[in-house]
Amino acid sequence: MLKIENLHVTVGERKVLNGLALEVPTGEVHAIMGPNGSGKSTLAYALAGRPDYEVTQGRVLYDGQDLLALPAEERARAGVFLGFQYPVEIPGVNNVYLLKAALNARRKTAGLPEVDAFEFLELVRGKMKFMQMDEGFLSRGVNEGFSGGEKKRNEVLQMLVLEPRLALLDETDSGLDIDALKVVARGINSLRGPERSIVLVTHYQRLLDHVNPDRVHVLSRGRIVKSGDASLALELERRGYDWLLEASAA
Amino acid sequence: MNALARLAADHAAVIDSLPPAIAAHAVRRAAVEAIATRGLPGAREENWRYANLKPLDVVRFAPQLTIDPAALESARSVLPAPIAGFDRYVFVDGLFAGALSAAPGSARGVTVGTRASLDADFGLEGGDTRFGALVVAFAPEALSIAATAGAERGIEVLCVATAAGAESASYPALTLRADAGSRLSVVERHVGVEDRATFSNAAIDVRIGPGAQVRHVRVQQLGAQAVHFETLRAVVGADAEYALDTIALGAQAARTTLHARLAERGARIRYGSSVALDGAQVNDTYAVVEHAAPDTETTEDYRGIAAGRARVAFNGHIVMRPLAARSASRQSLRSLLAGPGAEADVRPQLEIYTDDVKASHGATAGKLDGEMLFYLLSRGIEPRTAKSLLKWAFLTELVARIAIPELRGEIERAFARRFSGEDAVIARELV
Repeated sequence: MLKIENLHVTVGERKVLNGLALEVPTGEVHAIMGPNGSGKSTLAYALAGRPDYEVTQGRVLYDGQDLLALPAEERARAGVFLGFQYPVEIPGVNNVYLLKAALNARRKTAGLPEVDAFEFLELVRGKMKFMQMDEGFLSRGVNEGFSGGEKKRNEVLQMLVLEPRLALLDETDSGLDIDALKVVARGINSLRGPERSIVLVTHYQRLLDHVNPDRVHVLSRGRIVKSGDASLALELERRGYDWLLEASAA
Repeated sequence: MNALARLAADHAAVIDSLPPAIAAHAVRRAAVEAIATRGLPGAREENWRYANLKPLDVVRFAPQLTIDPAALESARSVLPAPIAGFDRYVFVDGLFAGALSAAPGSARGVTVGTRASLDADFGLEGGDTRFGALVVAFAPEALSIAATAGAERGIEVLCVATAAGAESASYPALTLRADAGSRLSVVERHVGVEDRATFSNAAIDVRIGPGAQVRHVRVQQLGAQAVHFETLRAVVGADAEYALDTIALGAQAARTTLHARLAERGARIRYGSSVALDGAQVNDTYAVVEHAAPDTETTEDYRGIAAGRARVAFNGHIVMRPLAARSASRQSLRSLLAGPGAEADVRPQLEIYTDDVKASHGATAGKLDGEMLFYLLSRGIEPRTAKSLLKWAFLTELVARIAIPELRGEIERAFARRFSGEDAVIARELV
């Protein structure tokens, strides 16, 4: 599904990713962990096509296709979804409008007709119930006045409606209380399937208690320095990152 | 003859016909003398450099003294739909049009009169309010709205400009008084006959008593050739609130001068201004909010969008006097350029005389928010559509606060008509 080779990314003057390599097979859930500033969010943004994140070297294949050649909106329509760490508020554009426009953009690319208005509302209502969200939010501005936790739920809701093939979730667990974390984890798990891949970018182990990853990778100074199975996350939780970083620097 | 000499001559010619009830003749003469002493504002003055003052060279300052039937008919043709639950009062070229209005008098705690007495010092406090003094000098009529405690009445004031400025000027004048503990909701709209170079100069004088709350929505949708000046003064009492929402779409050239004084402890103002211009329109606001007492609070938001060669300017000047301990102001002033020749100048200005205050401000000029744009793109939205969405969001953000749904809808539709191409398609979907 996703194959990253020798990826170098510069943000402003700063080189953040330095030759990162990663492969995520179809149907798997991978966690990217690492200390602050190691480049986790940069990786997520670069894959989603954020304009000010400059790829200076390397390539990224998504279903065998050159992902970096596509502008952000085409990546999304091809099935790549980024769940933001800090979702922005857009007063004046309501949630239901954005959801519908996003879904129709995706359907159009897939050669499908626009979604029927009634069916769409049914679909969204069902997903909202699953995410334990209040329906009143639909007519509000995108993320407008939402708490941190509500914004994260809204990201997962969008993901459930859009059904991406590759979901990149950037610290979707941060700022959630334990109940909200369970709801968000349930949302993520519901999307797991043989035709989809999920990349969880996270600082802590706690999301992984609820979403069991197939692989765990540790990112440091812009490269993957260690990969392992789910037990690696537990080890990191116990020992912190320092031992790994020292070992990789040596 | 220069503008000042013409002003004096016009005044001398009409003063005997102007009712002393609005302002005594001595007061009117003093106003003209004060303007003569100071001179009319010029583009070289810092607070007037964005205003378009050229029309002053051709305008006839004398007002109409009676409404002619043709003017009444053209006014009738441009009246917007009424707002449910609001009593409407219509002024045509500054004159009360009884035929188009509810009856003056008292009802549900609010008294409305057409012979308001204007304050002798209105427009004389500082150089920036000079156009206010001009209203005192010339206004043939003035509307008074006074609310007592327990009042429950919405009032709509419609000021229609029909006469060409070269023939006569119009001086809409309005006094609002909200007594202690009262609630007053006023919608004030300025509309005009399209394709007529009208000249209007409005004065609005607001006094809000202790614990009172005034919601004031002002909409300026004058014709494309209109020239409009307005001077607002507001004095807000203890624990009182003034919620002022201004929307401006019309006029060739418009200038707003606002002086709000948070006079007593706990006074608050929430001021929002949305401006959408196109073509060669100019809209310029100079807003001073003076914190003159402890625990006072300002929230000020501006959203100005300029397409074509239009120019938007907003100077939000906050003054924290020595007595304003524990006061706070928050300003969010933003402009957006939507045309290759458009200009914007948006400035917060702080003048603080005591340490014990909080003043925050953010001002952005020009571009759409990059974070918002990327968010929409990351959801698969086309860049052109995303930009249209964000333009719409930018312009309607403050309008969403207006608590009168049909007025809000009407304003949004008017904004949508301002947009063209893809922007218009998106706007129509979102209205």
